[in-house]
Amino acid sequence: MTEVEKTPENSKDTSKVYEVGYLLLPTLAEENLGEEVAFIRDIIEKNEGEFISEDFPKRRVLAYEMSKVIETKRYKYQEAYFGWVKFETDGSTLARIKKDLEAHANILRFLLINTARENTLYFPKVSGVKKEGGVDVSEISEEESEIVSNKTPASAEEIDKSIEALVI
Amino acid sequence: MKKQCFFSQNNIQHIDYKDVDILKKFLNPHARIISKKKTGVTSKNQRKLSLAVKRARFMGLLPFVSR
Repeated sequence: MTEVEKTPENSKDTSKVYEVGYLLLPTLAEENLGEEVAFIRDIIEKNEGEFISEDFPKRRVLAYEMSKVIETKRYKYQEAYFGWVKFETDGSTLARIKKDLEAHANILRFLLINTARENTLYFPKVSGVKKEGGVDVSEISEEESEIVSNKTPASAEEIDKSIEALVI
Repeated sequence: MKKQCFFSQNNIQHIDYKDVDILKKFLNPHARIISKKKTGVTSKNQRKLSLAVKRARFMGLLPFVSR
């Protein structure tokens, strides 16, 4: 336990990788998104965060309705621009970053989390590459994909429709 | 044959809340998380998965309830 404190490069070790995922208001124009992203990066860099990677905000339909109070009036949103920024800091300035993001009017919601430096998004390999494991693996993955496709909402709706058709 | 853990098989170290397509595989039509007993996910990965799903829900990438 005490070994951690003794290490000379302790200051280096304490810096961790964080990520801010954010939703920007859908009322913003596409052209102004660049400014918003720059603003968020400014907040991070101003508070001693070292930029690592980011994804430019993309417009997407939200899974549920969100609301935000802007100047005493509550607005409801079905869509938003979702983007994220990864950065590195020793954690002492996180509270300030959080406060600054909260104060920013154009952010509908944000999520500040601890993450890893490398890319955490999963890109499936081409099925031909992963055949070393034997025949069993491919069989399992096929089964899985079948099960998964049954569970997707679209197919569930289709089932509902077919059931309704049968009932009528 | 027993089903094996999707994350261990594909060597996924970090389950990212932004990977909505993967997370959706582990939700039932009501958008509840499917138990590891059914999906074969290891306990360790199931804990990571549940955290990722909850983060995705907060950010509106996945629903809290559906249908």
